[in-house]
Amino acid sequence: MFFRLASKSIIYRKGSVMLTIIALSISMLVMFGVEHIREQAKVSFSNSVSGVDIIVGTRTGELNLLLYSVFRMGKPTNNMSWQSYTNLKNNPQVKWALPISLGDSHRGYRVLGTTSNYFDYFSYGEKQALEFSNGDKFNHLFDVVIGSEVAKSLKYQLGDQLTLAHGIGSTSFTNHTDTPFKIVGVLKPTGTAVDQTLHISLQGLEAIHLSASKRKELLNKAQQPLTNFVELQPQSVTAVMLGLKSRLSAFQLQRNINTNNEEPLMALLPGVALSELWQTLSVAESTLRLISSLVIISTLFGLSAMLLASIRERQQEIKLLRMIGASPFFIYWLIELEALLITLVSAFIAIVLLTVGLTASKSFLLTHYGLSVNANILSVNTLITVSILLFLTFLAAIPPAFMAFKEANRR
Amino acid sequence: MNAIEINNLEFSYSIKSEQNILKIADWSVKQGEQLFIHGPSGSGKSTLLNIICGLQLPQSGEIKVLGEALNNMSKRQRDKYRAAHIGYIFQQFNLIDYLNAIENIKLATHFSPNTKPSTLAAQIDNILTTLKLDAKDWHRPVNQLSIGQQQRVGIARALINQPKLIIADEPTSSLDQVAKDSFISLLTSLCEENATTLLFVSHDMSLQNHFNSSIALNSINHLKVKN
Repeated sequence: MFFRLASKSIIYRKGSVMLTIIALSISMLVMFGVEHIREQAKVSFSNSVSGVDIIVGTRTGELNLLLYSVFRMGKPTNNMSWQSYTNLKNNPQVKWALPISLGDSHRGYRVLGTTSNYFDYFSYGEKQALEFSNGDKFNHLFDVVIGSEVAKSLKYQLGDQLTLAHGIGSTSFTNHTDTPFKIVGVLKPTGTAVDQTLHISLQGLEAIHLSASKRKELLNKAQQPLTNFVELQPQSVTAVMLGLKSRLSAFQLQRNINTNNEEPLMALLPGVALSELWQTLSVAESTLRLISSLVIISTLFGLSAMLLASIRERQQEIKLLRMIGASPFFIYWLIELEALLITLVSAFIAIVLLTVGLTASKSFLLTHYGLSVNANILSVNTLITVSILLFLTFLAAIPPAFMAFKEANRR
Repeated sequence: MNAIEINNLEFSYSIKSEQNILKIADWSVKQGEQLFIHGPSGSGKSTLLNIICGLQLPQSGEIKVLGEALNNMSKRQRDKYRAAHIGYIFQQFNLIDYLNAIENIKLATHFSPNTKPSTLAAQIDNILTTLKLDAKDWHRPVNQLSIGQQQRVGIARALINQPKLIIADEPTSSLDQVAKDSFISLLTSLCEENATTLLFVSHDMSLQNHFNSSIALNSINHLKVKN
């Protein structure tokens, strides 16, 4: 009866209640949205690479090296020599070394030139290896392995042919149209930048940058195994990812590389660099949090004011409730319950809207910001946030509830 | 037993003010009596009714309702006692606008300790039928009912807990003459059937002849009220 009384009372005053619910829903939408995207960004951020102990590139900012080698963002300033790669590969502390070359693209998606070992050694998340949903690694000069997002959004299948563009814009004037690549593998979704990457061999990448006559020549030999193209070994690569035999040697090797006099190189530990990068982002993060909480608080004041104004119109109702035996506490809790119901309904609306919104903008966020966002926002954290909001609502409803209590006590 | 017994009662709204509102030396109402109380507005009628309902306590003196001294009860006990034993009909706003007739009546039973949920639905059916309210109006929001219909639902709400005492505070002042007469005869006959004591308060002397006994508040309140 208590619940029915509160809910019917809210429905009865739907005009002002509706406006309050809209205001609350919008501010909760902002709050849940910020919170959810922040969390998802953090997860996809720290999951983007694992198992790689050191990333080596030419001397540039740590941030820059990290962004282009792991997130495929920004552009490499300079390349490092093939010799340095071979030196690193032969270093006794190194278990494996993956050279990577960036700089070309296909319809806005970055192309990564590497060796076929990449698919064995690169891992993400909790040391999960890359897996193929279809096909296999590249074995020939003009083979390409595409990430799941590339396959999905461009509707590519195994065996399809595509041409690469020079540069990294989605519209390029130099297209390598006479050397089409054939899709031989599609990777399973990882939720990292790998999903938006096209992987080809270093030799393939080298080949498309040769003169037209040489390219024609190579097209005829395209069916030969990759190892036959020694002349296509690149002079330089963008960066090298290293796996060590013992992680304990990481700091020592990092110092050796950074102080190497032969070539100006730079080594970073991805785990450390990622958390440093996240630290710099946390200022923006806490600002967003602060703003969304202030919005919520001001909206709750609005709720309080709305209820306070309604108490004046409800004097007869309070008098009647008292006469049929309701205690002043009953009336106090009636107002509190109405406030809590309004917040609950708003939270529900906000969650539904956010889920719908995220589902709709999922692919946009992924292609434009490299952010893989799960549309399911129901988590323990959401429940905690809703509980905190309910508590704040309880506090916000104290003035109107107390006024109703006083009104009830007067009779 | 008397339904109401008052001895040396004094009441004022403010302790500081010397001005009392009520001063009643000795007054009682017999069980089952139907009493018409009249007096001009501002004579303290509503205050007296609030005291009888236990919403307000006198500064001094004794008040017994249905044999129980209200002075000795806690606020919460008085709320319960009122819910269980007293039915109250207001001049208007007898019902909660956003509930329908049935819900309004159920709400009154919510606070009463003598409600039996098993028979409640039948009881409500019965009382609304007796009050000649069309079944189609039972589930409509009460603000869509006419004033006369609302006052009849008000009677049903006041009677549902089978109270020993019904207090009606100017219940007919918003009704036309025909509705007034039928309202009062309905109320008095229902009270008679259940042997319920009825206090009917009004300033409208034309209603006096519906009742076998009547009293002017000024004749028991030994106080000159200043304006």
